[in-house]
Amino acid sequence: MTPLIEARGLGRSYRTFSLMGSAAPKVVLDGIDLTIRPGETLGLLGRSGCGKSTLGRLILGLEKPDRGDIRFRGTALGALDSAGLAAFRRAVQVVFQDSLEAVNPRHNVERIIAEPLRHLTDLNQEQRAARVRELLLEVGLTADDATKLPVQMSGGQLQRVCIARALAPQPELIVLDEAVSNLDLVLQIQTIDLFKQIQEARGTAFLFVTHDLRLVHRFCERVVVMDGGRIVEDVPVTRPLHFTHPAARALQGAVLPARPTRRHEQPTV
Amino acid sequence: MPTLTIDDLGITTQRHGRDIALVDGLTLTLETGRILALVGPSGSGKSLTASGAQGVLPAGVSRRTGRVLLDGVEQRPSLIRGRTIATIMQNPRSAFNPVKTMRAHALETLTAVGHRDAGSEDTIRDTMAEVGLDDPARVLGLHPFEMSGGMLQRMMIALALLTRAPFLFADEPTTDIDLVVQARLLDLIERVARERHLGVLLITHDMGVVARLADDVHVMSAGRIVERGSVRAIFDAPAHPVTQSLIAAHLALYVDEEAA
Amino acid sequence: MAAIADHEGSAVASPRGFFSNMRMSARIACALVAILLITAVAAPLVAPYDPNAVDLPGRLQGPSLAHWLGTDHLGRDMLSRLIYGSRVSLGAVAIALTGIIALGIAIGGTSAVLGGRADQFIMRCCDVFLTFPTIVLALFMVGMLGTGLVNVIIAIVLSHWAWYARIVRGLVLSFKRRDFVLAARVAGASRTRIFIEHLLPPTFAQLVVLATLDIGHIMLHVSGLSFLGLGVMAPTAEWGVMINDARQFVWTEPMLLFWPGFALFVAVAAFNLAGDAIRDKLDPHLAAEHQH
Repeated sequence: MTPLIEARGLGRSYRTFSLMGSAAPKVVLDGIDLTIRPGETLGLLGRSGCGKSTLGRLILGLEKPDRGDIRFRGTALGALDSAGLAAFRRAVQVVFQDSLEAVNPRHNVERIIAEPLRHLTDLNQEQRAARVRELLLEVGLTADDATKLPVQMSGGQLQRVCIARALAPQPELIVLDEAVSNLDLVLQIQTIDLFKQIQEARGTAFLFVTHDLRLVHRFCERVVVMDGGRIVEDVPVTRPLHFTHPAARALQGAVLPARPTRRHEQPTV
Repeated sequence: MPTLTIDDLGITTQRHGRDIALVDGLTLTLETGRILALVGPSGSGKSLTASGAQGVLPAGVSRRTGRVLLDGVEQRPSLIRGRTIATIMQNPRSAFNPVKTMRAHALETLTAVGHRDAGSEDTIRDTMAEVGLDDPARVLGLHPFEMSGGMLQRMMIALALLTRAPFLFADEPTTDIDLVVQARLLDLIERVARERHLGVLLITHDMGVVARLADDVHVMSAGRIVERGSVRAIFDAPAHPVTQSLIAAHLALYVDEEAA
Repeated sequence: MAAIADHEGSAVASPRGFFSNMRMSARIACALVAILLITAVAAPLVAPYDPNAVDLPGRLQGPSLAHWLGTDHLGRDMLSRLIYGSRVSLGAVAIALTGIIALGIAIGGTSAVLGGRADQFIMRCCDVFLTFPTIVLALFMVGMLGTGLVNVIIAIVLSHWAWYARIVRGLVLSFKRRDFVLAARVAGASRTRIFIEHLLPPTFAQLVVLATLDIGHIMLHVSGLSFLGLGVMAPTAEWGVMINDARQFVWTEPMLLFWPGFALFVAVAAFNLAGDAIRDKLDPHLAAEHQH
């Protein structure tokens, strides 16, 4: 099977400046090789600052790598013609962490969800409106929500709007950039269950960027762990996970307990 | 044993000319040496409870009823803030003045609560060592932008301890920080709370944090406390539907451990 | 999660509360601005006399029931001339600001959207224009093209657009990195589309607020240059021209000098105060502080 996305030898560094003068370039990604196959759910796990969000943005084509390349169905992103680029845009979508920040506050829900339909499909206005209604129902909102403005919705509802927008062009891969981190736990579970439904119904692949190992367990088939700009683990999700790298094991060790620990059985002094 | 009681707290906002209750008749008591977790879904009023008790509500929201009692004696909110209750917040960067050094922050904190004296510098260094900030002399000269989020979190806890307040409010102290930092921070909060015998009000939506840290749990929904219990009781036999959904969502993340 | 709770609890300022929440000085300023705008638009209906009707026998009269503010050295009604004068001042300011904002958005926006060398080049050009003082540029324009209000407006636009271009560029660059613009890129929107749909509206909203703060200052330029004889020419009723006309009677009829000066003072102060108040209301940072 041709990989959907294939990253080879990716490197990215930022130049940093401070009042003290220019510092050495900060290496954010270093020698990243990653393959995403159609329909798979891949967890991208790491501590903050490990480069996982930058990798997500490179895969979305929002930033360019300094070294290496990203191939979409075998063609490097830089070599895509305009038709190929449109196909790539339709195929790869994103849901960001902060839903209120990720939508234009002046646009209503219908316009927000229809944006990719306007730019990436041939649908006319009526067809777009019908499609937006379908999408709203699919993500658990109602057709009446189409006329609302972002400020009139709760964080959980607005994140569903962003999910609907990502689903609109019928993508093959959705990058979830910490997409549930701003929600409370009940909403996180509900949202992940929604992703699962979407995956079962449409066979969409997901790249789930997160720092929470518990969510990887619930959602992903394969997990890649990053540390210091490199991939240090790439294993199938099993229960329990078999990590060997110290950075990955540290993440595992930091998972909070499911139930109150023994300490609480001791009488308080 | 010293206690801090929030009694009959009512907080409202105006929408379309009508009063809407955000917190309604809420009563809870903190004891020193115990950690009380206040949990609930988004918008249930947990954070407002903490800010309302200290009289620091956001604009457009006002306290209609309620008293704060220290060992049964009513206190003015402006007098307990910082002296009786210290606070640590979710985003440490916003809690610091970007143009002031850590030393300036520490001295300002001591001055505000009236503990500044000749030994202040030593007190500050000892407290910083206590929260795991190595090399206090160097850190005291740093500005917020020169420090990592984890260091700022520790510094914020050090400032809270400097007030010598017997009660600590921790509002989502570990939401949205990476798990390794979160684990260290929870260890730290637990350790200083035990060592200093603090009464902690821990506000969170993460039942994992509750399981890790709390002694007692109050569950909030729509501005009211709907269930109270020991952490064991809440996890083993949740009674209210809101509690049940919180526990179920949480345990759903640990399917394998539950089966084992 | 706190962000969500805050967001749910935030009260969006209702238009009804817009003026009622202002300080008294700001409310008076807004009322004065409204009166100025109404009299300027409705000048022919409001003014008791033709502002240019000469009545030599009735010259230099003091205030009376017929002429509330008296008459000038040619017997023209002062009040009518002040009212018509506001038309010229406000009209010139409106045209100048429209030109400034249009140039600022076009050039600053292009600079930010293109980026790279083009951006550097455009910003250096801006720096050059920033060095010209309005008066010097106006003298130059008048020297080249002759006197007249149009040349004065061109000089004001040329000496001000670069500030706006810089501000537009800064705003567009700050919005460009935000998630909602990245989301629009992922949605396949072209650079032009993103600029028009996502970057321009918030930028324009901020510019309008800035522009209200500049109205008074530009009004002073128009009148100042007219006073110097570079802009509006006598006998047109314009406050700067009226002040100039009154100079010769400063010792005998000081009120002729006072009224247009006072009108200018009140108008400039009112626009500045109203601009401040509107900025406080619309500035997202200040608004956020009100909500938290």
